[in-house]
Amino acid sequence: MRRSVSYILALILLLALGCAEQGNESASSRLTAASYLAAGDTSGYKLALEPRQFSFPDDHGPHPGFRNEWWYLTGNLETETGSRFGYQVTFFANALRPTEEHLCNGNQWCTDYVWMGHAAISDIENREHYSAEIFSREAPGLAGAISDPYRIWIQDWQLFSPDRDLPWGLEVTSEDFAITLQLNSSKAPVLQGVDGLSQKSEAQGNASFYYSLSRMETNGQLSIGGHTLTVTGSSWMDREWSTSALSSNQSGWDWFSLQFHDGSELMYYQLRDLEGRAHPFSAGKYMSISGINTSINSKDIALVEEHDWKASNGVIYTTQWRMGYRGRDLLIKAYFEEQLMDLTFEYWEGAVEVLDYQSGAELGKGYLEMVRN
Amino acid sequence: MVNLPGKPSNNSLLWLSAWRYAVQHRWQTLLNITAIMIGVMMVVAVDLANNSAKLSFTQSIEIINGSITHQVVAGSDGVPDEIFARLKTELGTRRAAPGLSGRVMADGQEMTLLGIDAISEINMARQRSALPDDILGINGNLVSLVGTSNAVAMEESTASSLGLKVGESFHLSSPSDNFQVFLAATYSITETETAGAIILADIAAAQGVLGRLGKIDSIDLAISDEEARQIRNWLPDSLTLVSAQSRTKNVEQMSNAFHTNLLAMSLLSLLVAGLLIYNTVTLSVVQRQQTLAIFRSQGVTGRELFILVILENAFTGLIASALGVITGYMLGTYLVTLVTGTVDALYFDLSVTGFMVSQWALFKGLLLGLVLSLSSAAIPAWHASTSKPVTLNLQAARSSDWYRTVPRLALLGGAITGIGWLMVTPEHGSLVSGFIGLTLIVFGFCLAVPLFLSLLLRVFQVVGVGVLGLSGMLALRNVQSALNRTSLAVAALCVAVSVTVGVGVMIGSFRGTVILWLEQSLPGDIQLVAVSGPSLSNGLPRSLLEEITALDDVEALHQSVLEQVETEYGPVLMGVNDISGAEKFLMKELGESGYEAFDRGDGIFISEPLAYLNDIGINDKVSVLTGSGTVEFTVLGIFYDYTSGTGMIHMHTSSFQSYWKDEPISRVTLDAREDIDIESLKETLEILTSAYEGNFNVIANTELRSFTLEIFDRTFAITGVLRMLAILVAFVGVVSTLMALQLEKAREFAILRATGMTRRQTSMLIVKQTAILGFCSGLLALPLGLLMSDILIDVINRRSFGWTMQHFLPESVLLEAMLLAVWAALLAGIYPAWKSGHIKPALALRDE
Repeated sequence: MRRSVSYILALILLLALGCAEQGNESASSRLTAASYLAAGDTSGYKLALEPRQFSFPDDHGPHPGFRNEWWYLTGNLETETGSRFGYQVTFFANALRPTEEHLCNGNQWCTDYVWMGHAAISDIENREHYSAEIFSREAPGLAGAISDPYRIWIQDWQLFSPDRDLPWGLEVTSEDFAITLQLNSSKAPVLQGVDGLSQKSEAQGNASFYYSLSRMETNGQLSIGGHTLTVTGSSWMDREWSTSALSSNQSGWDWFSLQFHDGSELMYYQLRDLEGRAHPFSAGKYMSISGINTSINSKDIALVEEHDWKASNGVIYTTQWRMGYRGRDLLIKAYFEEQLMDLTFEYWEGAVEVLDYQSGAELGKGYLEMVRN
Repeated sequence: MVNLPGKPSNNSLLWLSAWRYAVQHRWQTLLNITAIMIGVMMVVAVDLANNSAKLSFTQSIEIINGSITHQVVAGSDGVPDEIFARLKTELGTRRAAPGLSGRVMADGQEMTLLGIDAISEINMARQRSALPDDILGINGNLVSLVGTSNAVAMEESTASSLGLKVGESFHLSSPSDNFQVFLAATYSITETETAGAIILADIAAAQGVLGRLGKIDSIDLAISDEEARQIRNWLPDSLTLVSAQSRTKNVEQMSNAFHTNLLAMSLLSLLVAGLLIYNTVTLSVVQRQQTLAIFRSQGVTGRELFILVILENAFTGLIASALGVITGYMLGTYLVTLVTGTVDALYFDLSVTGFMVSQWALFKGLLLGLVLSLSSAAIPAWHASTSKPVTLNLQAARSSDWYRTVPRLALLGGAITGIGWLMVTPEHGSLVSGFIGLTLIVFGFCLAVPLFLSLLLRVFQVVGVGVLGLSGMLALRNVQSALNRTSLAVAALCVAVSVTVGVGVMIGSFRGTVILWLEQSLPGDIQLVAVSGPSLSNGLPRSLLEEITALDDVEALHQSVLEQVETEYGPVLMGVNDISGAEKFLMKELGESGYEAFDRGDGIFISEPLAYLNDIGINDKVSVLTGSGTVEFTVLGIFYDYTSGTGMIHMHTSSFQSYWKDEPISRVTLDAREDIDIESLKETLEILTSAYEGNFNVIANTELRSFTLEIFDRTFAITGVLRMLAILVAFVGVVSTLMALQLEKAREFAILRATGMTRRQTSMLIVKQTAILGFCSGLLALPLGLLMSDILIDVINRRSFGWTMQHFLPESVLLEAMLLAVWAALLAGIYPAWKSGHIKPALALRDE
């Protein structure tokens, strides 16, 4: 009895979290990230209305009062023998309600947050993609974020430090794989948007606070099916918190994080409207070798879909892109196509190589994320 | 069919005659239909009720077991929250969910409060399917339940039964507190998933309302054996990891046994119905022998007569079965609450009350009724078809055959009974073989009924000379002369009545045993229990105990414990007391110097069902999860117990205190001095406890006894209903058979009238005859019924539940059976008596 009711409730809850329609339409079976990030009732939450003063390492920690916050790590890694891997680990925190709206009376299970974790490894040589997800409420000590000592965790997945600052350790285990990495950053955090305020649509408050650690030296171990490999490479971390990010006429996005071999980086997200066209609020940033960060808007960049891949459920993802920016003509190409995050929220997230469009010479590596509704 | 000269041109004449016969004998037809109807009704109703209860049961088990492989459990204390958190964060156990539930009262209704962590459930299920079709709708915000301490959700119908709307606040009271909560959402789900009186809450709210902050009941796990090993090593001693399968095995086995019992009882009444049909159809053939003989002599083939009789019965059988299915369906909706009530009371908290109607069950009922009426009609129909026109017309022909058959039948009956007996005697035989054995014994007895009856009648004749008078002797001889028909009727009635005796004696014995057991195993006069407040966790205050001991009316005071503990056989109830074992228990088996060893704390006593179902004997070991880890206790004795279906253990306080060191004692038993008014002592105690913080329950053992009996009666309500129905079948059977017998003899009575008997005399003759038959069936039903009760008590119940019962003979049951048989017989005589009184001899004898 209990189990059945619980299971049903869990499903409903999951749907409700995604603000999806509670009906019999098949669309409701899969949650959509866009609807999850769309407005809903925002009263009582903090909004990203104007630029704020960032302060590190404090801002690596949590920002209560907003509805969503995430710690998003992606990276390209290599073994000594040259085997290449991509990885992704994300910690999502979702507030169920504005904090302190209800009385807890010392109840240990009382909580306002539900956490979701995603992790994946792309085995490029073998064209294998492994993914896992985890859900947890925050209390009692099941998940959470604290600044001192630094720890972001969902059950046994964690990003942690013995003190408040970098370097960090990252530990993730799932049935199929495990990730144990050390991460450090020699570069200062890059504030995205305007001084870290990333406007996603016209409406005031449809924005997030957003910064990136665009090049993190990474080393450690990946375990796949019991085999442990020592790897080194470079990671990218996106940090974002918001209450209402997308507007109702936005339905997904394409996000690029590119690390060039020359030491520069580029981040660009293309928001898509309901018809799948690029939304004018698409934006990004170019981080030059000299440390100068330049904002990119949709007019500065030319993006052409070169090759599509159809997932088994019929959703089409573009796995080869041509990107033109400041005289660079780039081919951004997925190492392999099947890097679908086939989880409760479905999206495509995978390691890509960055090539010169004309010569085919490798210019860098990166990560591509595509969210479709 | 080829038309022959002198033969009816088509079948219509045959059918017309059949129809005329049915209309003329409408009472008989009606009663016949009623008997089949009730038989089918019982089978369908019990089947439906059983299936519904079983389905909810399997669902519950599946739901609990389904994905779950193991559970982390503690004693009554609960599992600390941090164990769950550490299991997830340190061990990384993904598929783990906390469980907490308890009884609460809302607006005077008792309900189950279910605390869950929906987020853990997502990891548990991990199925990305669409919303199940079972969800019909949600009203309100279910998400707002998560993490809050004051929001609940419930099923739409539950909410409306409480008069609640989404967003409204209401009070929930648990033994510990009274809490204001609000209804955040309602949901409606399909009936099969129905949650009945369940209030759903987040684990946070459940802890608050149930007053169990910091503790959960259990942690449900879906893990591999490797993970299980790891967790087992990691868990502190006070907690244990049990496999989900072992926890439900006993319960499932017992509940199945219960359902088998019910089904067997319903089939038994169908058997009675079958005998009755056989009997009435035989009569209908005999009654129409002249008509049939005329048809035969006119060229109607035997095959056609066979088909006629069979189709007639197919027709009435179909009507009766259809009626039976309809009424069975209606009765089933009522029975299901009784069945779930029993399962609830005995084994399992079954909250599902959904009524499952399977078309198959309905169809099965229809088919069963039809097959039964056809197969019961087959032999008489065959008789109608094979007999030559002449023999058909010769009334005495078969009667004389019959007399030669009687001893052979009895011999065969004896052999069959013997085989049945062999099946019921083994100590640990299967339940099914027990039932087959019982059926064989009953059937064997039926075959011997003609012999018994003729002997009985001879005894009456010898004894009755001079006592019964001429009409009495005439009645006796009349019965004997038609022994071929009467003995069949008597056999049918005898089985029907014996079922009521068997079941009646069984229930009576059970009840008697429970009463006896209650008197012996509920020591003392008054129980005092802390139900909330500091005494619950710290034990009863010393000063209170001293005050009580100082009371003049109190002879002695014993501290005791009653809580659920985990054992290798699953959770069982544990009782602890400092009363000597010799004083307290009704022992079934006792090891050497068992009482002394028990009082020293050298071992435990276990209940009979626990011992029987798990094959535990004296000096075997039973592991129990104690406050200081798992401990193996020696079984010193086995006591009778009827409280807990799945088992109970008892230990002496001395033993308890060495393994549960800091466990508070929150319950005491008081012995009052003799001749003290218990009620006023109770009041004194209530006044005394009111000075202390928290709530206390003061219960007189007399109340406890009547409460236990109340539960017992609820448990056996279904059996009682089935018994009433069996009585009804028997009653209808007696009336129908005897009435038919008498109506058949109309011509005989006309002769008597013609030779000078008055109306009154013939009427009396008829009434006397039916009374004799009723009396004989009742008399023969007594030994069969008692035999049946013995088998039910010593074989069926023991094999099903592991209970040994004392045999009690409730005289009322025997008297009831005799009255039933005789009253029904007398009632059956009224109409034929009235009719024979009004018969015109000349008309009736016109054929002669």
